[in-house]
Amino acid sequence: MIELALATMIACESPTLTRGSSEAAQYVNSQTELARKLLRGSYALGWGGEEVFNELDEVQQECSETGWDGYHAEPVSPETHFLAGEFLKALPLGIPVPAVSADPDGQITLEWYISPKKTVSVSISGDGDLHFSSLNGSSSIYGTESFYGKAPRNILEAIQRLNAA
Amino acid sequence: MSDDAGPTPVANDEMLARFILFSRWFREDRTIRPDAFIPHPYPDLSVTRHTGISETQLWQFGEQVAQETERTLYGRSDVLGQAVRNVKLEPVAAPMQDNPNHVNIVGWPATKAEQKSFAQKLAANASPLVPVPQE
Repeated sequence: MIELALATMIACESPTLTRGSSEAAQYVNSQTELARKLLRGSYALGWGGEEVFNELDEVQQECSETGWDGYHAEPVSPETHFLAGEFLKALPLGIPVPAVSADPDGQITLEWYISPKKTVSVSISGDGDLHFSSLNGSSSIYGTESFYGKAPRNILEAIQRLNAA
Repeated sequence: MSDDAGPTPVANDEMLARFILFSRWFREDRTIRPDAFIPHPYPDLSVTRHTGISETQLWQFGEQVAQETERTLYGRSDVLGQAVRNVKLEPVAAPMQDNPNHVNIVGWPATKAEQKSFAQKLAANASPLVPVPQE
């Protein structure tokens, strides 16, 4: 059932930053955004509410200085923090809530985790690149996509496969 | 781990420790996130070999890093030399003045996505967090 719901949402694709400019289009967009905000507030729908956005803020605070990892990590920039938030907003409803962390190069990571050998990780850079890697048993895929306000289909499919297996 | 002939090469059955100084690099179940194994600055990942030192000495190296950077040492994750080689990386002994057991894991691919894939496999074969012993 969850698998079907995820597939449907991925098929419908996620919202995009490109919007219509007419009054009607703007009204529809604002109502859609309002509905999404309300839905995000519900744990029942599997979104984890606003918690993931709070976690994102915490990561930026914890990683705002060079060497936050005890080695030579670069700080997480405000641009990276902003883009990670936009990417989270672009995820279709029903996608499980990821855990938020950071890479030593200052990129924010979102992780979907079942077990150490079943995990999807997406690193978001300040220049809008989405570096992703999926490990699903003995199968692994990885790649880089540019983020233009829409969650790339191959990343969504990797998350879907993880949760379907 | 070195003599006049240079440092002893890292054997497949040697355990290598990655000290964890960021709380988000381990999960609630104490398994380790791949982020802990991303090499930065590229191309090396620093670890410490267990061989030839006591558990106490091993922790001292971790505490040393934590003190220098004023961070909390949460613990360490151990990975076998063989597991490193299984993902086509190479552990190379690189003794330092303050840590003669220092090892660099080298051979990382240049692209971030591929580094993530390697780090994911490494993390999948690393031990869960070994917490700092309570005194």
